[in-house]
Amino acid sequence: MLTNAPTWLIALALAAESQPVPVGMPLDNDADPYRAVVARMVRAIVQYSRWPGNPRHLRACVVGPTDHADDLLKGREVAEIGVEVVGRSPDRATPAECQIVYIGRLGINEQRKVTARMQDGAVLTIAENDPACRSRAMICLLFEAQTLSFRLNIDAVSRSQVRIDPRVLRLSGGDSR
Amino acid sequence: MIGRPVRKQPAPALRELLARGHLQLVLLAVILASFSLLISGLFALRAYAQQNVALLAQTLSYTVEPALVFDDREAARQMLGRLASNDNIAWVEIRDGAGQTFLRWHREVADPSDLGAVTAQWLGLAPVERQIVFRGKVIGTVRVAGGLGAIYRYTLASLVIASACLGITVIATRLLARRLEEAVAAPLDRIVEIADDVIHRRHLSRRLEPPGIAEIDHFAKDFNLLLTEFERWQETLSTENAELSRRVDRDPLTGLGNRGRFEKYLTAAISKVATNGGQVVVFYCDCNSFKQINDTHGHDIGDLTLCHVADTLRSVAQDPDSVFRLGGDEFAMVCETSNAAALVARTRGALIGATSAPVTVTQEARLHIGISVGHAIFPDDGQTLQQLMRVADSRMYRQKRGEIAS
Repeated sequence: MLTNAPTWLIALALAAESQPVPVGMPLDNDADPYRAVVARMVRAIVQYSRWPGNPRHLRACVVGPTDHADDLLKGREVAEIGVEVVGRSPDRATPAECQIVYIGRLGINEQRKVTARMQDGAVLTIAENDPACRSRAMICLLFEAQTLSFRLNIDAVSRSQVRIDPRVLRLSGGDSR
Repeated sequence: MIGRPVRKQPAPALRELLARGHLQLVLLAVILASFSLLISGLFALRAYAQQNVALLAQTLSYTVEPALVFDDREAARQMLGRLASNDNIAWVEIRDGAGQTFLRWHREVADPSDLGAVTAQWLGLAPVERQIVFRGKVIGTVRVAGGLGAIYRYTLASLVIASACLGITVIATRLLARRLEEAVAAPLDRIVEIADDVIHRRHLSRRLEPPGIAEIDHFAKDFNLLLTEFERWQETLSTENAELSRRVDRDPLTGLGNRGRFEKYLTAAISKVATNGGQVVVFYCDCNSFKQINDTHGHDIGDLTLCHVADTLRSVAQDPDSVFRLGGDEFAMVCETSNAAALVARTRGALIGATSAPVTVTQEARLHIGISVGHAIFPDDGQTLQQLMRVADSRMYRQKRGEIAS
């Protein structure tokens, strides 16, 4: 991930110029540069999240078609920390089954339906296709030219039974910086 | 032995001496105090700085951990910028688990890093390293080096304050020395002044007032005692001198002035009259029967006779000091007058009258003394003492011959 340092530095310079710009993980040189980074991002977020009762095994449900979740679906990165990844249709994902829900390319209303269903359970919701963060998912991924970052929906985070390390709030572009 | 050439430097004034003494003492005190304060302050500051660095490293290792996990350098940079913004931090370096530099942060104000590093090393301020642990695994390290800003500022402030203290103490020392000098030197000056008065004008009546400093009070007391002793001594001396000089030109038997005194007196009277006008009459007297009395009644009676004649002359004279015994039975009297003829007539009469009757000298002896009187008038009978004496002498002899003849 450090191989394209010059472009990364330019991004940093730009970021420093116009704050607050969400910052995040630098991308890979790949056919889909976001693929691996999404898996890493999900892994990192999961590592800074805490579920009630500290379950040993977590299941991540990838809901709907996705653009960048190929690696995640293969269990890369997250398998090491005990997360099992399964694909689910929007209707079949339930809080009982999924501790993590990765919402793919769905319309905003469908996304909201999913998040509404998950609201009562201890579920970490991550939206792939919601840069404005209106789906009421806890975390909205931001796919930018050079980096992958995310935005936190503070409302959703505070309502959820899943606790996210406050240090991560600082990292995200969605906090009230 | 060849004497060394002694260059005599003027002795320093008391004030200068006091000021110098105070200054040295105060300089020593201030320098010692500031130096010890500086050293102890530096030690305390060093401890704080080291603690500060360790605390920051600890904090950073916790705070930066998610940024490292998310590989988010900008977030880490912002955290660093906030946490290490005080100038007690020189630089921070974060490495990831592979030992690669993840982020470096330097204090913007580039202090001369060689000097800073050397000073930091000298002060024992080593960079502090902490591991960044995530879920029991070391994912990186953070190294923090302390800056010397606070130490520089403290040292500078200490030096400035010490210099200011020095300045103030120098001034205070001067003032103090002046006050002390007034307390000590003023009485000494007074002593010197009185001593000068004693030496040059013999004013022995002045005394020192004790100024209220034990040693000088003691000195003043002794000085005053010495002055009193001097005064008494001088009084005795002058009394003795007066007595001696009285004895030198006086006849011890009759208490009358002797020939020397007579000559001085007459000379003075002549010069006075020559200037102011008037006349001086010199009477010259001689006992007619002194030799006979001596031979018949003995020297005691002779002496008594002389005393009687002296008393007679004194009673007649204008001024008892103007009567003299020139020697043996010769007496003289000097009178100033404006009418010599009347004076001569009156005095002659009084003298001869007083001595022509027999005098009871003792119970056994009633003696007829009888004196011959000659006179001379200045300026009528002569200008000099010798001329006047010759005239008076010859007149007296003429009278004496007449007396004997009659």
